[in-house]
Amino acid sequence: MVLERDPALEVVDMPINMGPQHPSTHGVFRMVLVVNGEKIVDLVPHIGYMHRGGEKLMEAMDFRQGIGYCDRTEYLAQFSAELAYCLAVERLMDLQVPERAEYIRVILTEMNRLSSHFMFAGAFGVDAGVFATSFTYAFPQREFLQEVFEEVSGDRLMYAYFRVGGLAWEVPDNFVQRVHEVLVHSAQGLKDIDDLLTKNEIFMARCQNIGNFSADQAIAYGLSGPMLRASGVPWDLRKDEPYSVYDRFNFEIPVGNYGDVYDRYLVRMEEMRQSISIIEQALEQLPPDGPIVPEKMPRRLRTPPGEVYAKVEAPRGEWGVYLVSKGGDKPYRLKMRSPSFCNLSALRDMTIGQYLADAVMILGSMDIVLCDVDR
Amino acid sequence: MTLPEGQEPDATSDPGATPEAAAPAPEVAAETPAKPAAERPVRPAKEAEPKEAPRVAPPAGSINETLAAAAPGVVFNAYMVPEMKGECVTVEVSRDDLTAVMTAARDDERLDLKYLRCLSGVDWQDEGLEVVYHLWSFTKKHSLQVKTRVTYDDANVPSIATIYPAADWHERETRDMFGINFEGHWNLVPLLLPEDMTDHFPLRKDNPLQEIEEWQGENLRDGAGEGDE
Amino acid sequence: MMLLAAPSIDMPGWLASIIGLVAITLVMTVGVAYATWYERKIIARMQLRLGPTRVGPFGLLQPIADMVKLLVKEDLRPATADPVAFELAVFAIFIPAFIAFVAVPFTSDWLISPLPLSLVYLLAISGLSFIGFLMAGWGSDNKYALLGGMRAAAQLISYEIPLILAMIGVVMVTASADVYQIILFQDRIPLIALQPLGFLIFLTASIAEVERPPFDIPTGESEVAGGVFIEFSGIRWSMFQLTSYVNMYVFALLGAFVFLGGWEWPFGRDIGWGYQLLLTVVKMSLFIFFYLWIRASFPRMRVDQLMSYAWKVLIPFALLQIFLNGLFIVYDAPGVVLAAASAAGAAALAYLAFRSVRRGEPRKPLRMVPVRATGAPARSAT
Repeated sequence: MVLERDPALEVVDMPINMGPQHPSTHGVFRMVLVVNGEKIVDLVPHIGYMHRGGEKLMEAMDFRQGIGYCDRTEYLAQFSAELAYCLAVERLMDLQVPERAEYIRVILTEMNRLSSHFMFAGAFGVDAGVFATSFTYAFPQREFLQEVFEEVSGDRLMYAYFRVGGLAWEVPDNFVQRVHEVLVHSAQGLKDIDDLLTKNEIFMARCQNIGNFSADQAIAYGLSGPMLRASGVPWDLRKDEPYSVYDRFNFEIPVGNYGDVYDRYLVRMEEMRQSISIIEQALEQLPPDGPIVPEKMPRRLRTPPGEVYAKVEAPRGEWGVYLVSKGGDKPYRLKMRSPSFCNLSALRDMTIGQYLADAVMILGSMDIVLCDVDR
Repeated sequence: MTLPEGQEPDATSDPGATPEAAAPAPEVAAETPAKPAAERPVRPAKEAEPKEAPRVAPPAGSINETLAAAAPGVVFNAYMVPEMKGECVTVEVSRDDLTAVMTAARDDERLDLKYLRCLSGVDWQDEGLEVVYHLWSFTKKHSLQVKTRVTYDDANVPSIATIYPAADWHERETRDMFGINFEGHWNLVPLLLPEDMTDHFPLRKDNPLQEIEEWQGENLRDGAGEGDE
Repeated sequence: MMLLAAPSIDMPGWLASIIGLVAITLVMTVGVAYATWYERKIIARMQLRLGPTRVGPFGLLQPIADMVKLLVKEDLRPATADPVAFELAVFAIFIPAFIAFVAVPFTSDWLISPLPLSLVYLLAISGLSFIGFLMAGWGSDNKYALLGGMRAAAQLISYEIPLILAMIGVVMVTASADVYQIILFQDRIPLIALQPLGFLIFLTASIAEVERPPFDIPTGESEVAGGVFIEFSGIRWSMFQLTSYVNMYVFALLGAFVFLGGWEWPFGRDIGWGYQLLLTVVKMSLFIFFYLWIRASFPRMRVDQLMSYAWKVLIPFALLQIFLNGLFIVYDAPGVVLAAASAAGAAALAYLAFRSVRRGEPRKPLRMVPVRATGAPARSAT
């Protein structure tokens, strides 16, 4: 006997709103999912809740004020954003940054990569359902790093420490020793989180073969950073288009094979280890003294007319600055190419066909920063 | 924590001071002795400084020649900006040829520019609105910057979102900010702006944020306005 | 009520029962309130934190503060909620949990109602609560609640079966369906030694029945938005939370009695009710600690993984356990043989769970692409 469906009953797919306020959307982000039972049929992301007109504001800020705004845009990888901005202006002005400043910039940027990836590891565990244990393992590590950042720049989150040409002021005298201490903590914290999550069977079942994205798809969608590397493209700006003094270190780039959520997680974990190695090499090579701004530092930062596209490998991907200048001390047009924005545009095609609970995992694996998406 | 030589404390962070002000800022009494006024070098007038970056033709064998071979019949203007220090060849095309150029860039094996890095709009006021595309090839390791310019009255550019899916959200954002209509885009609703804000384009230069800030800086000196609109 | 240990009090049976019920209700209410304290402290320590410390010494008044807060909260009711389903859902979940204590023998003399089929009674009563989840899910008029309710119903029904099958195995070995008799059976050896496979199945199924992590997909709906309970506030929500802990107590007690030997093993029955109660509490606490430990350590399973684990892994192994028990009874083999066979089954289950939760073939590890320095370092290593 075959059950006949009553023709009066209509079967519709159910739209579910994961609204702007939701514990798992990592900020103010709204997704409208259309589900058929448990499978996602359609996904419409709505962003713009944190749009503050950043690019317009930057047009009214000169090249020292703009650094503060870069912090507020990418608030988990601030030094990467500041570095991109400073690189753009330095290239236009043809300034040569002294070596000590470059090394300190690299050390701080890599430490910032560590703290950003710790944040990812903590939040990703919570998305998977671990009752905040990964979060409480990750945040003390961020605290140790933030203490060093506070000693150097005076601020815990919005550093504004890099300047066009170098650094704002000299680092404290015990900087090298403090960084060594913090690296010991970071290595231990990384191991703790690794032991908790990486080989956990339930975690692996939640992450493997979810959100697969092939290398061609990743390139077509403009992904960058760990998402691109997890899909199998061995591309890292520190290796392939090196900037600052990244060409003086020996390190390795983790590249995934499947492009799923688990590979992205593993790539970020491995990147943390590589960051620790880069920081140690930089500390060895750091010139003990030297200027931190060029000698011929102009009094007023004025760029010649021109345009430049400067990019750095931020923890989330390629953070780029397209700067158009018509002379003067303010940009004529400044476009911040944010990796979270570009990665998030692929969310729909990554999630369709997966289960409802996977949408949260995929979003967590993208590791977006909403201020960066919306600028 | 000494300031590097030559930088004033905080005087440059005043948004009210326009770049056109000819008065030189006071020097910090560092190691340089004060020069008498007669010996100060005469600054050239601001109007004489060039407003445009100098352009040079790209060297032979550059990517624009490959592009010309890959997209025959397309007329474009190729140049390099020397300030861009290792940046790529820029190609200006008209918007009617844009789709052909983009398709050739993606599909031709010699170019293989499969990665759309960035898509931004620039408002050049009298000269129109411009859309700038940055393309990159992972296999050939070369890049190309494509520019196309339209006027205010006819701000229509063909959409390349079917060629490069990465352009989807970038085009929506550029439409929000500049009002450029990307023809052929399937979902050109506001992305960053509210859904009903379809006729106000914030990043165009006739939205005067800078003038407002300067006015505030000059006229609200008692600490009321410091740059926020 | 059997209150043989209090010979000096001579009271009619119904009065003794009422006193017993009131005592259990009060003790359990306080007990589950302090279960929240216990949980917060223990999980906090596992997470490098301290847990409640401010309200009272060691935070011991924290549950009372929570209770007061929840009591004075506004009782929100969605306007479009189904009135019958919404109102009665709480009771449909709460009442079976407390009724279960009627058949639980806390010591050899403290038992409100001696039932010859008390195991059947306990399992049947604990299986009633899924109706309350459905009522809460449907009656809330909220899509998240509906999804949570559907998932809860599916999960609870699915995990009932391995639970009951494991208990059937126990009944076969002890030849009794009365919890009291099962405890008496274990005077020399606890059933965990004879039925390790059944124990593992019971352990997993009981975590799923109380909807604790990693099986908390109904309450972790859309990942930490409350699921079925999303529209309940104040005292109603606190009743749901308490019911979850009462269920946890019920299953912990059941596990302590059926598998760990209750108050009988290892010292026998004659040690007096004080020590028996202590043994009961200690064994129950072992289970509860294990539930909390698992909560702090594991991510949440996805619904389809949860279902496939119940139907494709636990049920076949429970049937295997029953089959082994049957062989043991038919051929009258010594207990050691049964213990060894069951232990082998348990090892196979553990291994298979290990493999079934992971999917696909072994993964290729990450490729590491080396980057070699090309520039000269500013200063070589000293």
